[in-house]
Amino acid sequence: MATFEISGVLVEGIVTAVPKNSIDNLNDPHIEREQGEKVLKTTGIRYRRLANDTTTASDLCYVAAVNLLKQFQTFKGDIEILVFVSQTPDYILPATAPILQHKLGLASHVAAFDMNMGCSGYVYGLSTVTSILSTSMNPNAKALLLVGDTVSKLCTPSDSATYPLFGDAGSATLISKSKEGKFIFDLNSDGGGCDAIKVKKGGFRTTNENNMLNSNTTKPSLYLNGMDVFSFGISKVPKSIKSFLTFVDKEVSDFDYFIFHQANMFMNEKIRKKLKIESEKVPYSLHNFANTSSTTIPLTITTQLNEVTNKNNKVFCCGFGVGLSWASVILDLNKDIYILNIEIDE
Amino acid sequence: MKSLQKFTELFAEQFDESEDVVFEPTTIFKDIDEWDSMIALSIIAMVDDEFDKTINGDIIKNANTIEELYNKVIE
Repeated sequence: MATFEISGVLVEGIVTAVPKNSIDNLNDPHIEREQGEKVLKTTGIRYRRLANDTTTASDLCYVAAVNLLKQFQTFKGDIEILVFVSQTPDYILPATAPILQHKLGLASHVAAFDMNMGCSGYVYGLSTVTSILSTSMNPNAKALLLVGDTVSKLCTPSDSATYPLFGDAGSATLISKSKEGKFIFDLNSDGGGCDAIKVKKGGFRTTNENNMLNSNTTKPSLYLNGMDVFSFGISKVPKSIKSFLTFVDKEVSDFDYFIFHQANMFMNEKIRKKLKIESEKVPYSLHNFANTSSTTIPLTITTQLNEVTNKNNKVFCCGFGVGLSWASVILDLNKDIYILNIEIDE
Repeated sequence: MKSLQKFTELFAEQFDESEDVVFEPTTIFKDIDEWDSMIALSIIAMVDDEFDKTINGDIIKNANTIEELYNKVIE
């Protein structure tokens, strides 16, 4: 495991943005009622927020960022890093991060780049921005982490293995250099499992006739091997978390919350029970928002941690899935953190 | 290690709506009406709990009968 500690950086605020359009799996013409009930029973997912045809992940992140930066106006000029984490970017090229830098009116001295990560992307993104930020020569430097996906656009209604499971969301997290604050990361990968969650088309590995650049072909679509992902989730994830906790000499009781990637409640409950974590420490947002890929962790923080601003919290986050990739972080969410979830009326 | 009979009982417990099905080691489980990907996840979880073994999707896909699956689990 790649484990590292970064001190002197603190989360100032997290804002998430979801489309107002909420689809009920129990009342969707593309999903049989019985199938919707099974999905609800097994995964815990009922509602999905869907972006319209013209709204991208970066649009959702943009709205989140605007609302976050409103709270920190004086800090805008100190933003030095902007990272956009997504697997549904605006274009193959250019990267989306510089587009967001410009759209947000940030200075050109911002280092802006994209990261192509999904379920583990929020933690990977945090590791990258905090690493760079901690080495900044500006004592007031800030980083803006924009994490979002519109995976629903990769799911066809006829595919019952993916269509009922994914929603769209974006997020913005502001991180500052600070005297307090510490992150400890544990990052992992296993590309041997790359076929378990895959969109083949749209890249350059596929042959020309299958490439999305050829307009005659069908749109890229998501393949999900639910059984393999489930096996991975219930075996690798709890083992990895146990090793990490042992390595850093921490116990489950040291944390106020465990925020897990939200793909399947049945899987997460297996993980929770294996780690012997009390249920009240493990919040879920997937009932209302489904699997929003890279955004599940910040969305769970903004929508489920109602009392997070009452006191300082020690939080353990773990994202796991596409890659395969899994990543954990131990961080502090202080009581003066700004958190908000907003609905976008497109 | 739990017996094939015990495995068959545990396998049957994952089904809620198949009271009329007699679960035998020779039962071709994919022919049971209730069988679907959600039940498959329950089977993977049951094997993890009861046999401390992680089985992937291919093992389930390649097995036809409960006994064939059991033989893979105890390998």
